[in-house]
Amino acid sequence: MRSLKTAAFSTAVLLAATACGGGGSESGGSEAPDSLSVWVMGTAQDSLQKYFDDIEKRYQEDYPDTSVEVEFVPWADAQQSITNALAGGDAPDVLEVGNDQVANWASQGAVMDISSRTEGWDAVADMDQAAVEYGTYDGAQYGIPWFSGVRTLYYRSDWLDDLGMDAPRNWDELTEVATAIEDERDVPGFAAPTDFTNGIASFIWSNGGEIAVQEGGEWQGRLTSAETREAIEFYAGLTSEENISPQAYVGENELVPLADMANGEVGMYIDGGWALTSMEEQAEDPAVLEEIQAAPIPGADGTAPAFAGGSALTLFSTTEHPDAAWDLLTTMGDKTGGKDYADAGGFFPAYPEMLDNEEYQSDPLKAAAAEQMKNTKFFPATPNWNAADQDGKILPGAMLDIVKGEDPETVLEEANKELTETLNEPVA
Amino acid sequence: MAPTAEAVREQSPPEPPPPGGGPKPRRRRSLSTPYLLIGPALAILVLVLVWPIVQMVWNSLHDYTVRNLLPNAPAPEWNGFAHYRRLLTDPEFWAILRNTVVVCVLMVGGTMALGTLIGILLHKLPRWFSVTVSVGMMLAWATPAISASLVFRWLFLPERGLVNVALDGLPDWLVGSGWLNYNWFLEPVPLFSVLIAVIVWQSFPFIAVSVLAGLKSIPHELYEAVRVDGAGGWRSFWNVTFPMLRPLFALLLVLQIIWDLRVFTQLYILANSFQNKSVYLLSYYIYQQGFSASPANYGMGSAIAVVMTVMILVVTAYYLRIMIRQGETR
Repeated sequence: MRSLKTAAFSTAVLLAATACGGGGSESGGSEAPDSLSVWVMGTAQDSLQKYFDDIEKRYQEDYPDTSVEVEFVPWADAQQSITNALAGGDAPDVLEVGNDQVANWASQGAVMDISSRTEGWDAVADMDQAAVEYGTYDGAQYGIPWFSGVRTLYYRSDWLDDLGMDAPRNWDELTEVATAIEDERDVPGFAAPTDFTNGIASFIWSNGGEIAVQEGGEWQGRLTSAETREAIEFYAGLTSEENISPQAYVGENELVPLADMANGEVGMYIDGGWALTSMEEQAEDPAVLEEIQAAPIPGADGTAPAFAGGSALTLFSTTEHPDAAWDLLTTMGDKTGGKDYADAGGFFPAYPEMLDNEEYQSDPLKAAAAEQMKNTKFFPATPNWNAADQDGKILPGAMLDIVKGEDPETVLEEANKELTETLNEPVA
Repeated sequence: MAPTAEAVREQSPPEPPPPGGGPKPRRRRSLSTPYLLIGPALAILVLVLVWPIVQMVWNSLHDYTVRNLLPNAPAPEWNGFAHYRRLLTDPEFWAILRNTVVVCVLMVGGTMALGTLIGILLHKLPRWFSVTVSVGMMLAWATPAISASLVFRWLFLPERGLVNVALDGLPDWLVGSGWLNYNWFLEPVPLFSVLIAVIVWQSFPFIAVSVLAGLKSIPHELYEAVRVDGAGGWRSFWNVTFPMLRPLFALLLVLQIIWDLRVFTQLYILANSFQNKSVYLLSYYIYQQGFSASPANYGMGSAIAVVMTVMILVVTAYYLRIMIRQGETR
């Protein structure tokens, strides 16, 4: 009998939805939906599952009959999953996207313009305003910062103590420390994977270089500038000239050094706070993790700026219940929901005032990241950045060629041309 | 149960007229019956093969991307032959096409040669030994493409791969030095060498088993005869085995070409993402444009797929022509 009732009810809901759906008007779904689905990037961990149980409890105070279904989408599959959802597959109501992908999905019509809803939500005023700005496209708000994360330098504190050295604070010290580790331990001192735009960017920025700049509405690649080229050559040289970073990391991203770090096979590498959970899973001897400490990323001289990583919450454009989905988004993104998720996932909350909290300052790993949070930069804010980076792999590809021994000047000339062209493509 | 050739050749007795249908002129029925029988199969073929191909060609002539997928989105716009024009004037595409053909020829050549040799070996071995070797081969054949590719990737890893360590252990005057850190997965030549090794390793068992089956059907007297004429193994292969098995070889060759043109999984694992355009093959390029690009370019992906489909159709048509000409389709 129950199935009959459910069927009748869902038919009614369907009728209601179709009656007032269409045209994307915001009147749809004033009814409470049976369930809302959230897509989150990454892999399901117990702490994150628990977070969503709590969110569901909080959400049900207002929507007692609505369940919150969460699906974890691995970062690498995000592009395809979202595309499939648009093509009429199973689609989410609330979607997490990387903060550098908001403009891209907005331009594709995958996520909803939430400017009017954002204006009525007080919490936005307390968020990191640069991150809020990064969630806009074409003057409208599409994404709300959910958490932020920066990469820092991870190092083996016990090895450095044995050597009587401190964590490196600039490039010279980085080379020095890495060489000392290799001499002492016979494992590579530092990892410089080539498919690692987020890390390479820190080297470029710290040397006063830029990846690309916008001048009068036109993007200009900056890979050929002296500062950028010097930084890229330094990074490539860590592998090709100094033999500090092993050949095994050429053509790889940071996940390979992550596994090595967890197993005492490398002395230092750059990654974010979220890497610790993965390291715990991959470490054969958990004692190694006790010895891993973090420091701000060393730059040409002093701390390097890091990419202000993080994610934004968006409403998926095909949702039938934008109002209910928005309420779920604010439950996840307000000060409670935002902070809880950051803590569960090894990130930082999107509210700068919280960064001075005791808990972020007392844990040395977090303190290093909190320090790094004060020195961040963003990638070019254009929908074409994804085409240039995740798809075109322009910077990683150039790095790969230079490490393989091709002439840096020619490679960067070519890459810069491609970058400028890609960033200026009309958004189709 | 498929009817044997013998049964088909035998005169089938005239069937009684169907009850209740009234008498029908026999000749008309004998004309339409084959078409009626083949009808359902043809309908399914059109549905699963022809229609998607028509769709693909349509996609390749339009600007088609993610935004066109949305409900109430604009329909994709006709763009003339822009995708094809861009492809044919793009040196990158020609390089990928060339690599695809060269790599495919090497894969097919390696697989056919090794498969045939092993097939002949199996034919000569004592029974129990032949069975043992066959079981080993079947395991290689049954390994999923992803597993096989991962295993090969591990074998060739810098500093840890068995191959790198082994080459490093060999004396320098034999293989040169610096093998331990050698990265096989960056340049086209070493990467494609590993790729060809994976493919040959996975596909020669099929050829070997097919050749073995063919060899068993060749009368022993023929070999006796050439031996009396004083021919060695080489001559007897080219004078007896090859002509006798020519149709089988033609079929295996075409199947192998079609399979090897479409190689994707193995390359996906070995090349490790899409960062290195110099190691693309056509199938990989299709996927990159159609699924991994940001935003996905369905039009361009389809255009490349059309090029590849044409290549495969040409190979198939050529094979059918040979078969029909030789009258060996029976």
